[in-house]
Amino acid sequence: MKQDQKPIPEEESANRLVAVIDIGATSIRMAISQIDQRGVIHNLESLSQAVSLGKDCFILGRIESETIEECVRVLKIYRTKLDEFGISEPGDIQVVATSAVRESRNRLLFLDRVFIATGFEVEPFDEAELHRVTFLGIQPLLRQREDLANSTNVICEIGGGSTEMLVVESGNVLFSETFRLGSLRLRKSLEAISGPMSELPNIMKEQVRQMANRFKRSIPKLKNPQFIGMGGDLRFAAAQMYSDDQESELRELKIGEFEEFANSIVAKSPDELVNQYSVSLPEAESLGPSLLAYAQLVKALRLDSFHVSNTNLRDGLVREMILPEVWGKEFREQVIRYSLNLGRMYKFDEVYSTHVADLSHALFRELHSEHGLDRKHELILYLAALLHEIGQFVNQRGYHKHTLYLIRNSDFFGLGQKDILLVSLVARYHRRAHPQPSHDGYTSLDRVDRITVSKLAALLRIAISLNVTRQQKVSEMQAEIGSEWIQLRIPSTELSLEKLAIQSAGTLFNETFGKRITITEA
Amino acid sequence: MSENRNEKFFNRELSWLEFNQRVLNEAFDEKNPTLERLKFLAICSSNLDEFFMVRVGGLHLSLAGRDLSRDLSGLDAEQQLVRIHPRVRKMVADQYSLFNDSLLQALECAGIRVSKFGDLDEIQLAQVEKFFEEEVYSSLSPIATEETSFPLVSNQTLILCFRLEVDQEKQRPLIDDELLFNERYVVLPVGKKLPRFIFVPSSKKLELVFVEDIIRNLAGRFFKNQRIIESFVFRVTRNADMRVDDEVASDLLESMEDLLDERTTGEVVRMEVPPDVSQESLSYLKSRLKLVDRDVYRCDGPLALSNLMQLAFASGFEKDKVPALTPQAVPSIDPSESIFASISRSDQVLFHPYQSFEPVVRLIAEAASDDSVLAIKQTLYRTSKYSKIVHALQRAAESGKNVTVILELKARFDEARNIHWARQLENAGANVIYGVRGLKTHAKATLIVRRESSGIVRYCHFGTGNYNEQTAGIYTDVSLLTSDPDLGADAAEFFNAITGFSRPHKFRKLEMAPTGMRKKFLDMIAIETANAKQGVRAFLRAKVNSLADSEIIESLYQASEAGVKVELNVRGICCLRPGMKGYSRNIRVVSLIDRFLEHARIFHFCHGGDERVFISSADWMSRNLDKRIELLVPVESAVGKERLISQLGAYFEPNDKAYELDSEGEFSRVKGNRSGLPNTQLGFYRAAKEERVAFESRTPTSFFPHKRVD
Repeated sequence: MKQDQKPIPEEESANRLVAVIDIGATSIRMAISQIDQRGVIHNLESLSQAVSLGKDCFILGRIESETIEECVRVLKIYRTKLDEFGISEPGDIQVVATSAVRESRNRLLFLDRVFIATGFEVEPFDEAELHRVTFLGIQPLLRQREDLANSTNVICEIGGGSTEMLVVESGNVLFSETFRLGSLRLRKSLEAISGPMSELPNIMKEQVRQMANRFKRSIPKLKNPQFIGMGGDLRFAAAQMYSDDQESELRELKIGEFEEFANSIVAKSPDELVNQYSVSLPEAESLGPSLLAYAQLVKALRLDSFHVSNTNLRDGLVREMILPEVWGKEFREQVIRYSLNLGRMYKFDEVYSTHVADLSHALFRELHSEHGLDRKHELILYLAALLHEIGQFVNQRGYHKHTLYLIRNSDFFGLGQKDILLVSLVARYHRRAHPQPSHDGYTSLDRVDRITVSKLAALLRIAISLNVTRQQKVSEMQAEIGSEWIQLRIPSTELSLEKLAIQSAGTLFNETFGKRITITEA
Repeated sequence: MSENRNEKFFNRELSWLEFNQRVLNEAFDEKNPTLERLKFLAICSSNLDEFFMVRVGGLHLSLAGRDLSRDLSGLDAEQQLVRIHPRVRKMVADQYSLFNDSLLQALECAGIRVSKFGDLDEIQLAQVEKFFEEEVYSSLSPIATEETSFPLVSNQTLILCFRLEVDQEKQRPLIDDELLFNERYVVLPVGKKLPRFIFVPSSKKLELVFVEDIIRNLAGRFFKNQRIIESFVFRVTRNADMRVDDEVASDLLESMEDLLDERTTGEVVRMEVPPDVSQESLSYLKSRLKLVDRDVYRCDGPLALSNLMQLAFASGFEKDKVPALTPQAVPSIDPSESIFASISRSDQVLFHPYQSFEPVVRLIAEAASDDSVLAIKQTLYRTSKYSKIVHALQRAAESGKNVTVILELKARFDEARNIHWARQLENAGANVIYGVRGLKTHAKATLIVRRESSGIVRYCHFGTGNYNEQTAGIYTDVSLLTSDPDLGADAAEFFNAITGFSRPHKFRKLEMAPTGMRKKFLDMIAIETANAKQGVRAFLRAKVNSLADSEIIESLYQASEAGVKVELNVRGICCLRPGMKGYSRNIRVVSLIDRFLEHARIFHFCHGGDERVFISSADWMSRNLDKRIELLVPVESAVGKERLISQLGAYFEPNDKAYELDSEGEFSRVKGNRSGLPNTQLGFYRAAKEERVAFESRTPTSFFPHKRVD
């Protein structure tokens, strides 16, 4: 007999288990991942079930009640699986829904029903959020591969309802766009036009060609780009084309072979595909148009080959869940770069605006105990400060309202619609009227967000006052906080203009925080 | 009848009958101890029972449904039956001549006397009469037959038939016509509650009389004042090839229970009678049971020879049995540590029954009481009556673990037991899935999800045999115990797929039927073919129970023609025709019948020098590849791979229990003197033993007192 060996230690592990569920047009997928002590993500289980959300949404514009119940049934199963792993904390589970749910008229009904039946709070993801998550998901891959890290990459996922496109150069996002053009949407719109079914492949090819050209026209001109395709349809194609091989992170496909395969798929009816490949019907319906579109797009970019990545939306979601701070540094830098480009487009005073933004940042930090807001709001304030004058591009008169309009109608890489609204409102309230419930945009916010806007706008007004000379005189400060007043000590000899400015600009601050703010030379 | 033969394939039924002949050959083999020979005779008989129920039953259904489809060799149902019956008749004649002319004598020498009622002395007679009075008379009741109907005689039970003279004067005529008949038939089912053998006091070690012999001779008590013109025992076999249409069954559990009732009422496909039954009685039974001549088998001796199995295992006759081979402990699994520790140290490949099945039972038992275990998932196809494994699963479910069991209700002849287990497990709180719609779940897999300090670790067991502790002692099977993360992820995928949690995805390492396994096999064979064509070394070896899938066989023919050396170890059905110029010159088929039932499925491919080894629950039959949930599992650890390669190789070495299949479908033993040849199964056993002994001699004996745990 051997010496007694200690059994494997069984104490509660420091590893974290997280789950993400994405409710897409043709399927609901779940990934359960384990994060080890070093922060490395290990995928434990992947589940998927077919649903016909896309079909409902793209034809009817609403989700039928049977489909809602279908989704509830799937999500209940997933809940069972989560229980098996003991994953129950809301912070460890993220459920997002993409275009099919987002575009349905009865999405609120859907979200409520899912919550009541399963306890899952589904977050409908808008396009910009999708970009952010996609970027996060693919970033590790881009970093790993030297050839990709230093080149211009067109990253594209053609989904059932929409197509997402990112152009990333040396880690920077140059362009991001979501098109309301997707494979299932295309098929459904073609089927709606009654015509001979035998003609469908040809009509589809023509439509897809136009679609691909639209994509190509909208992205900036690029030198020697690399094309990276994502999504289940492409992964399926790659697996079929190289069946003997293991699934790899990134696989290169020759466009000739790929197009041949895509054509063979288009030639078959969805029923045939279901039988031959045991895919679900919704997937089979989207497969042909999607593969064709990839092929056309790659050809339009004049490439001989392209890459298929096996990362997916869930990978990005998991990464976002575990990043040390939710809105990580990389993402902040991407958004700021984006905003600077936007400001330049509207010919803003870059030196002045950047300085005000930095002052806002400093104020936000100094007065944290007062406002109690988080890093995400810090970024919102920073962006609002950067862009608060862009409305002057339209007209000096009432420019703060033009600023609101311009920001609200711009794309910010990775920032969701609500966050963009917050940025635009904070920027709008940098002067003149205080927030009013009758103001457009502001009315749609809940109380917490309304207060946030007031707090951030109040800070922005102080920051602007500190640079009222537009000479960037003030850059440091130290706050002394009393029960009824706040004094900012600023290392400077002469601050009379600034003191004057604060007197009038500080009223919002006073109303919001209940404290009078003054400055003094240190 | 048009014949449309395809010479490239053997008929599967006839091939199966040749397998059963090889079983019978073991009974004929005088080198085997007497009780071992008796055992093989009993197995041969019980095999035939099942063959009639399922295969002949199926052919009858085809006939009734005017199904004109043909088997691989080009025969339709009628053409197959025409060939099957004479072959079986010859086999049955051989069985009885063996029993009467040789085995009875050998048993006598061993100290077991089989007596006839007429041979009993007074003391013995007194005892059997007492038995009749106490056990039989009160419990059995004769059933009168009527003109319009015949009592339901159940499948494969012994039934006594009495032809009685009707006393014309006492008979109250109901209808005038009845008076024309002056005799009637009464049947007396012997029932399965009575023992088949009645032991009587004797000078021998053991002396017995068959129970039906006693009842037949004392049956006068049932029919006072009536003359028995003729009495004899008969037995019917009913078609059991009935399936629940589980595509439409809303409650499978209930439908399966209905099916079990139905099995007792299926069409009769065979009747066994003694050779001296009168023409009148035979005609009577044939017309009542709707039989034709060829369905009738005259058996010159006791019916249901399968019951002799009991005698073959009688205690106290050790010198007339093969010496017992105790399954050996596995050195790499240390009983003093957690089995999870052993598995995480290295993959464990076990070869049963040479090596013990106990680690597999232990894995599940330990998991059941381990607080770190989150979930246990398992497939159950056939399990034993008293199953430690099922009890462990029950315990785990009761203690609140997540237990999922895929219990195949459609496992033929084990339905009743499985329904029982299903209810037990459900009551304990386990999540029981009754198999998969339209498919039988035949895969043998266990997944244990455990939370350890390093995170979630998944332990798996994959096997070629059932989770059945009893059969694990007599079937040769392979087990793989592993904590390979890829196999663990695949096992999770597998269970998610078959429990409906998710659609099937691509596996990392596993292959599954009916989705990817056929293609995987065809691909692996095709790679050998392609390599051979390019002059690269190419071979493949496979060990299966049955080889009957045309696509696989055709691809093996192509491989053979390309020059791939194909060696197959096939226990039972083999539809492949080896050694034919033009398609199968390079294919060799061997078969082994010995004390342990060959049951493992192992595959070995040269793969251009990067050799690949797999184990599987599946045979190379269409039903396994298309109609069942099966798994193909790669064995990748160097030690495990090495072990399986050498074990598989041993089947193709000359050995005394091997047969080789020739191009005419004949299986023949190795020519010449067999006595000098090694015995493969004993060789495996010795190797397992030596491995254990060598390990123990390396580790000095020491004692470990139980100490108080602080």
